[in-house]
Amino acid sequence: MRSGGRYPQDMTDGVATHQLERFALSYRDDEIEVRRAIAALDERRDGEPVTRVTLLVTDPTAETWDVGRVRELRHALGHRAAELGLPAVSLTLVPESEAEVIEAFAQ
Amino acid sequence: MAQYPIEADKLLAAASLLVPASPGRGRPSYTAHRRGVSTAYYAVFHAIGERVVRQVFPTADATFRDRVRRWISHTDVKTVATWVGKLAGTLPGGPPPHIAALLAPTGVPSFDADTSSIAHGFLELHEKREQADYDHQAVFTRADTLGLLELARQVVATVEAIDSDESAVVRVDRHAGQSAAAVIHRFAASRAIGRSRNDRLHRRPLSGSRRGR
Repeated sequence: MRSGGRYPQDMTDGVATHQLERFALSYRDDEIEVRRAIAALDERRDGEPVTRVTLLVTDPTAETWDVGRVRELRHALGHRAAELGLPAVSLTLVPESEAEVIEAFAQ
Repeated sequence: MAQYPIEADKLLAAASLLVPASPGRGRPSYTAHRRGVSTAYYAVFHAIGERVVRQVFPTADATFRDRVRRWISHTDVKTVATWVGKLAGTLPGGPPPHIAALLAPTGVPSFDADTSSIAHGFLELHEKREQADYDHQAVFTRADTLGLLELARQVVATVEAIDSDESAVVRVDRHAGQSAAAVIHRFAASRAIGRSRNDRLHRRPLSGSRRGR
């Protein structure tokens, strides 16, 4: 799992991604609670920049989280990233129960 | 009529087989998760393509429609969806001025919630499909993958349910109206058809005199 991204970051980018991580940690939702957040700049296959956001969140009560709530989370992150001058957000959600991924996430 | 058509609901069913709701025992197959996400994206892509063609050529026969569907590229739909995201403020920057003038004539986006959900859902699944197929470092947890499949089902259902009659296209032209069908379908179709026309011009056979040189 990536921990820092492959896209070269300058200091401004680092500040912006850190601010996006703090925003993610402050996000409040009844169903999805963010435990950890990692934001990193990366490149898509076509060379376009992308902000990869990986969130460690509470397990869903069913098989997955409510699509509408995830959409709201994704939009909130997208708006904040745009305000910070970061490229489009690609969101990955990791439930607490997937132990293998949690270990990689902590590295 | 195509004997083996590509149908969105069949692709969604295939994606569900790859990522079943009730898995058996053992470690989940992350390769199956990748294939499930990719298949779910294609369900959305083909659902949009089908509606684009029905919108633009409502009376054409099935063979012609099948040909036209091949003109529509992933980039066409992504470009249109990105305009919507930029106007909605979830992506940085803005669309070209002539697009902004049409979709946000007063500075406020004039498209409806269905348009936004189709555009954002497409962009999310397009990005995840790229990761699923090419990014060795990408992670697809079971819960996240099931969420992406559910997102694809909702986007396909919205695409298939929206009003896409021809009068809706006219309403958008005249009143910067609200039709999701018009925004996504009309622009994706115009891009695809324009490119197809250019392709045909560039591939025009050489004239007899040139061929003889």
